[in-house]
Amino acid sequence: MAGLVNLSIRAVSGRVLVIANAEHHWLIAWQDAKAHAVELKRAAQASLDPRVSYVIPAEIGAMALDVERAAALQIAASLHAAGAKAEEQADPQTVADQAAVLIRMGVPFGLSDDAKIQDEAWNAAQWSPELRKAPLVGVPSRERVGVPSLIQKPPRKLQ
Amino acid sequence: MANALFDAGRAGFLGADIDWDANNIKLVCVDHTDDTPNVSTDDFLDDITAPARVATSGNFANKTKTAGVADADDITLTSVTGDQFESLVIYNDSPATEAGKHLIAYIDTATGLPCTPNGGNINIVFDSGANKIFKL
Repeated sequence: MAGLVNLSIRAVSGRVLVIANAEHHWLIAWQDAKAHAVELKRAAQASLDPRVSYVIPAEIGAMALDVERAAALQIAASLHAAGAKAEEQADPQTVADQAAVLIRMGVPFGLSDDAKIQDEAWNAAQWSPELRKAPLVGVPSRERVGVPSLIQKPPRKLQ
Repeated sequence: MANALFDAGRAGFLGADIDWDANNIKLVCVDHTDDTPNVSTDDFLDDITAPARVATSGNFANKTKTAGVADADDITLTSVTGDQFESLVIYNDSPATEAGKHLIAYIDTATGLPCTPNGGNINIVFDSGANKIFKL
């Protein structure tokens, strides 16, 4: 695609949906979205050229990018965030189970910001018959950290 | 990961090494390409490598601690440039050396993260819900 493109990237039913100019769309597996987000970020940071070309395979076809470096970084960030959210949607029980194992091992950081998944993980860590065979390391904390917002202003123009 | 308190930060509060009211509290924006913070093993600011620190705030103002809920005025980072950053780390800036500045809170889940600086100001608006910045 050429010219000005408005991209929308979001998680839908365990996959990542990318819509360009409300016309073209691609569905990408969450695994591919996360992996290609990392590669795209690396490519953008390593590129000496102000533009970055990159192809992301979709379930049908592929999304070919030819964008400025800053836009590539933003797309990579959005793809990674949507990929993580899609992973949660695709298999929340697995995410909770994996988080429960981490809690049981004494590494109590969550793998999701979804409160239901976090609660399920703590419940599983404390009450799952399988996990209770392993000693619970550390002390569960009910700490909560808020979710702030970052608002970026446009740079000041020189007079 | 998810937003969390550093183990060392929690220990710091219990050991009276951190005084939310009296100490200088700041936050730093962290580029995970250079260093990904670990809430279990990172304890002081020297564990966040210098290249990973994209921007650092001034001291938090008007801090409160009612009912164990930490809050402060929103923060403005001025004319931010540098690499994209993926998280914010709140730390105690009062000790003289970086090896003594306790890491307190790790925030990688926030509206607007990851963020690619464009040279303009970045306002960080803390959560206005029950948890504010964090709740012990």
